Amino acid sequence: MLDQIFKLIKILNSDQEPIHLSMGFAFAMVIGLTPLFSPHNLLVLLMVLVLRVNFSAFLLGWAFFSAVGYALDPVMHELGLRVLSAPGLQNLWTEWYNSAFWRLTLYNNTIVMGSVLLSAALFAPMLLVGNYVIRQYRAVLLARLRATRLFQILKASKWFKRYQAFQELSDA
Amino acid sequence: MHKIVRWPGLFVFLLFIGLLVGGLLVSASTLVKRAIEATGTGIVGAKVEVGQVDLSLAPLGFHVFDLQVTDPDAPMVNAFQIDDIEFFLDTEQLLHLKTIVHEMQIKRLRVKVPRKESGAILQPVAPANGDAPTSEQGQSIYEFPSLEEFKVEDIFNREKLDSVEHLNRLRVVTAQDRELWNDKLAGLPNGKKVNHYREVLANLNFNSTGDVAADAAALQTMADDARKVQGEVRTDFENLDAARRDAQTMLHDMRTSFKRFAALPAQDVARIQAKYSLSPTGLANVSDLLFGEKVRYWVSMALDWYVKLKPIYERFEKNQAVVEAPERSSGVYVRYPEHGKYPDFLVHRASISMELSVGKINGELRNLTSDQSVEGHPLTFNLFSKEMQGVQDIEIVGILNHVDPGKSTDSVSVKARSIQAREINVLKNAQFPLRLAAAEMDLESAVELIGTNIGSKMNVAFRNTNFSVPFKDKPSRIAAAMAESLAGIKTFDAQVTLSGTLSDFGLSIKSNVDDVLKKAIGEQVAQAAQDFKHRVQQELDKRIAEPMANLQQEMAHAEEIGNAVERKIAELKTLRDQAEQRVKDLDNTYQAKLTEQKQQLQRNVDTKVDQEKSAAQEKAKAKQRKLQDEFKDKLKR
Repeated sequence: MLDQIFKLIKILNSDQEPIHLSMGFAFAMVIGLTPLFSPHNLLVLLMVLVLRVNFSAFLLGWAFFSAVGYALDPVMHELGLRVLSAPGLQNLWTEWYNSAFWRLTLYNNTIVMGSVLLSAALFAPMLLVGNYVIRQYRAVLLARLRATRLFQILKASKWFKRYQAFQELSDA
Repeated sequence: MHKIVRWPGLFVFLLFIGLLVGGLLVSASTLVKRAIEATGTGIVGAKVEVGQVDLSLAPLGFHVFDLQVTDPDAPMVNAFQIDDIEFFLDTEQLLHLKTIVHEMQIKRLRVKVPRKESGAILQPVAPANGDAPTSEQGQSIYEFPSLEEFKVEDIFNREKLDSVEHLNRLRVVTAQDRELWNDKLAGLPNGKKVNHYREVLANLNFNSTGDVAADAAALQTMADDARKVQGEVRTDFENLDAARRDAQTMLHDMRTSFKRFAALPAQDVARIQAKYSLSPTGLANVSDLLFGEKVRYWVSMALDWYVKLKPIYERFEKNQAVVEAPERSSGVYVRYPEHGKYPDFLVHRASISMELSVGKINGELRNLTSDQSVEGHPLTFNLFSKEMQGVQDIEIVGILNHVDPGKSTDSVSVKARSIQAREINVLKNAQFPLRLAAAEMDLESAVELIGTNIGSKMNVAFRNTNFSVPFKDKPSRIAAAMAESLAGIKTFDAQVTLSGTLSDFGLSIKSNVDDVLKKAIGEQVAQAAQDFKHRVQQELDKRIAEPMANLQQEMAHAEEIGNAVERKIAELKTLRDQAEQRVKDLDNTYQAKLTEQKQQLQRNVDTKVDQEKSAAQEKAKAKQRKLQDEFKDKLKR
């Protein structure tokens, strides 16, 4: 976990594309909020592996969003139940229920439905906001942080030395 | 800008999928084994174990070896054990998450197989089912009566007699009352006090002095004294009246307790007779007494398993309107109407081969599903055998119809011909250890269960019966006579009727053994019962004679207390009346004296007024004469 944090700090401070990092967070949100053993998470895994998603961001984000997902369970159950019980959608759900493919997706589970809808709705905002925040961090915040006294103290600390040693090892 | 896609990732993904599928295939057998064990244990309430599960891929199916289902009531025994179950799954339906088995082979099913280790589970998995019969349900209303010839003295020394206990309690209470009343009576006005009142009243005699005022004052003092005595007598009277009421209550309570006691000796006699003597009424239900224990055991066990296995053939439907909060991360699976005809789980046909210690039974089971309403057909089963030792043939046919779960109708019929029974312990009773040494039976039974209402009739025809009663000690006369009569019975019929509900059923067993026994030993039993009753009555009379005499003494004493209080009341009442009269007389005399005094005063006043009036008139006349004289003088001048 510590390695992942150092890696993330390093990448945040590097010139790697912000979109790769924000994609890691966005996909982590999907896999973290939804039940792990749901078939749609295979698709998420495929995306994470095939697209240039930053793994450190993905793994850290997964840990974070799993905790958020557990806290939001009741909300997602309620959302899923309302959607699955919506009178206007009954024909669609009945059709899906009679289809082998859709049954395998576990769409009729209230938490699966609620969490997929929630993470799908938050995916694009998370991507864009993440991208913007990383850019702003690099352009404004990082320069100001480096100039602060606190940063100087931290730089002199053994933690920072460990970080540097790690960076050197990674580079080697 | 970097490229957004990294193609090696696709290879990693495919590798991951491959590993996942491989892992699933490798662990499928273990997963199925665990699923069978967990589900079975949950349903049965005792360990369900599977030896091994083999997976076959084409066609997709499983081979389950050594399925052991523990009997929850006897954890060291498997209720049943199946050596080999083979079935193939409908792969197309499996994609719809449905477990459909078209053909299943159940080979070598054995019952009551001893286990090497206990199959009990520490905590009950399934909650108690309200429909499940309990061990007390269906119990006979008759208890097997004692056939020993007891000494009545021994019985009385052993038994608690309500009548004697009641008498002793009553005697203690009355003795306590007597003590209480002795103290109470001491505090009530006695003869000395009454004499004192009389003396005081007698001394209040008025003698006139001639002086009216003095007489009146004396009378007033005497009236006040009489009033004081009257007040004291009245207070004493009220106290006595309260005591009389208490005495009446005490006597009433005593008489009520005594009345209650009157019924107790007869109850004691009846209870002792029911417990220690065989009655002619008990003889009328002797079939129930003889065979009830065994029949009830089998019926309870069958119904218990019917309820336990219910989740296999009937889904537990929760109220659709109420969606309970799910466990964290698990959610709720919402169900929708299905176009297909398949339920979630279905075994179309299972062939069964049972191996019992007495031989083989083969049969088949159709439409095993917990969703009969979806499948549209009831579960049916039939078992048949001609290869069993000691039975010419046996056929069991059953239909469990839960197509409409609200109107379930289940029926099972059993027919067996020429069942050879050998050395069966019919009755495990120390006084009458009845054994059926040999018999041949034809059995026909039909059970119907509509909802939770059960109805069943079973007819058993016994032939070539040979009853024996291996007494350990010398039997009583009745027991010996009963044993002899039963030994003489070679054929008889028995009818078992079951009715009521699953949780509260009644069982009645009738057979012509009742008539045979009644005819053979009825008179003997009646005479013995009568003798026994007489001896019990005599002993009881003897035991209650002394406490009864004591109690009667206490009662007489209590009556005497009541009478004493009544006498005192009567005495004080007379005194109270006398005091009232005395006060009244003195008041009247006093009033008369006052009137006399008033009249005398009035007369004195009148005399004085007359005197003063005459003097004034004289004075006026003198003055008038003087004035006239003066006037005449003036005229003369």
